[in-house]
Amino acid sequence: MKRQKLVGLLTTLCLVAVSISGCLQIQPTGPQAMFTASEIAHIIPFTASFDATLTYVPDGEIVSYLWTFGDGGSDTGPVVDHIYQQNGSYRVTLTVFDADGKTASTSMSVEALNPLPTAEFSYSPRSTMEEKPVVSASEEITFDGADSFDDEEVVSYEWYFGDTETASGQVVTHKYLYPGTYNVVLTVTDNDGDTTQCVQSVCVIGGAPCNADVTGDIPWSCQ
Amino acid sequence: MKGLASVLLVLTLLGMTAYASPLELGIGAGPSFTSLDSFNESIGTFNALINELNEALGVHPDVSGTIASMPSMGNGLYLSAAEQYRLMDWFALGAHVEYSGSSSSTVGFYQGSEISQIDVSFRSHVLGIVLGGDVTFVDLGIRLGANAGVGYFHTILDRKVVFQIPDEYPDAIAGVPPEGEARYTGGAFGLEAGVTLTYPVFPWLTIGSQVIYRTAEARSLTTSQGVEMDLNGDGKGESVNLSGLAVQFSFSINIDLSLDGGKE
Repeated sequence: MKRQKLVGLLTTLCLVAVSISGCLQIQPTGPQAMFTASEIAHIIPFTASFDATLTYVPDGEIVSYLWTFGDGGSDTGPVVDHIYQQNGSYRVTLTVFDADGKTASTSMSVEALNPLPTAEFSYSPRSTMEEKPVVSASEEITFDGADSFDDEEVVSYEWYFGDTETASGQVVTHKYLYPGTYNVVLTVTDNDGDTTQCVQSVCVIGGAPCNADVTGDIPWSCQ
Repeated sequence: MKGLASVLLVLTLLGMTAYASPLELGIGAGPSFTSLDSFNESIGTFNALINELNEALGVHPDVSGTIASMPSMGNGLYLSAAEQYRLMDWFALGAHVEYSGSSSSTVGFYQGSEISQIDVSFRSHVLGIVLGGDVTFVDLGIRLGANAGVGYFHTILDRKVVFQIPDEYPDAIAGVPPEGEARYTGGAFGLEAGVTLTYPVFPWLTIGSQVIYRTAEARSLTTSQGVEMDLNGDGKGESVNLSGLAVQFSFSINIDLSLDGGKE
């Protein structure tokens, strides 16, 4: 009977040991990295703020936050700012380390957008009639897109003069044969392929040239 | 593996029947706690997100609604049915099947420019079959004993996540667990051990209580299409710790199968 009790006691001790070691094993396994971003798509240059205080850690605390911003930059800390200077799509990754050395990471994409070019143009010669700029029919008009702008480079200027005629180049010339109001469209394209258009109405006055083939009911002054 | 376990169980029980010793049939029930670590981490993650949204949108003039946090998962009901053969006064061999279940959920919505629904629920079912022995080491009318065994634990985990972040929330959030609904199944072999306290009310009826500890980990759970469980959406499959404690209150019926009817 003593032997039986001894076996029983030993068994109990083993059970207690197993239970304690088992209970230690049922601790949560690690943190869950989460963060918020103030901007995920913006025109460069811009500053994005990232906040990792949302990270969930079941037990203990986060001892280290490591950020990589996808453009070669990195930082540490629960809340960081980063300036994106170049356009592109960047992967921001947060890696957190808890006190037990367990890690977790998560990431999101940030789109650093190229600024669009601006399109502006002027034309000459022109005069003023009833406080409106006008040009004369059959006169050679010079259109100049030099006021257009891009942070890098404008690589093309495409013109549409409103009378089916088109042209390319920063500075172009055109003659309107008939009076009327024409919508002139300048389309500029930058080196990233982004385009912007500018539309201006050009009022043409005066007569048709002697050799013009006038077949329609065409007005002789601006509408 | 499950087939092998079943065959072993049948063979063992047949062998015991052939031995024709006293048979004890018992059922029990009680509270249980199971680790379910990865599920509880996922719940913690959702709670962190819910708290963040509640705080941020609680002061937003155009958004109404709050979402309740989810309780941790693991506490639940334990049920068992056991059969064991008492080979000696102080030793018995047997088997039991057991079930433990647990769940956690939250549901609600934020009303802003649109309705953003939050509906997160987790449910676990663990069905085990355990072969083992039982040792009685103190018998003073009340019997104190211990048992241990090895078993297979089939696991079913249901996950449903609808988590719509309102447009009014000012920031983008990385690390939000993926949405979706799935049932994951898997299983694991594990060990069980416990301490029992029983009292024979009559020669044919015993009541008792038992504290059981189980250690097992289901390393791979998949959907019926073979998709691995990935609660946090990091692209890596996750295991589930099935370890835990259960306390059960039981009663068993004792049937004497021996040819001499138990006479000395």
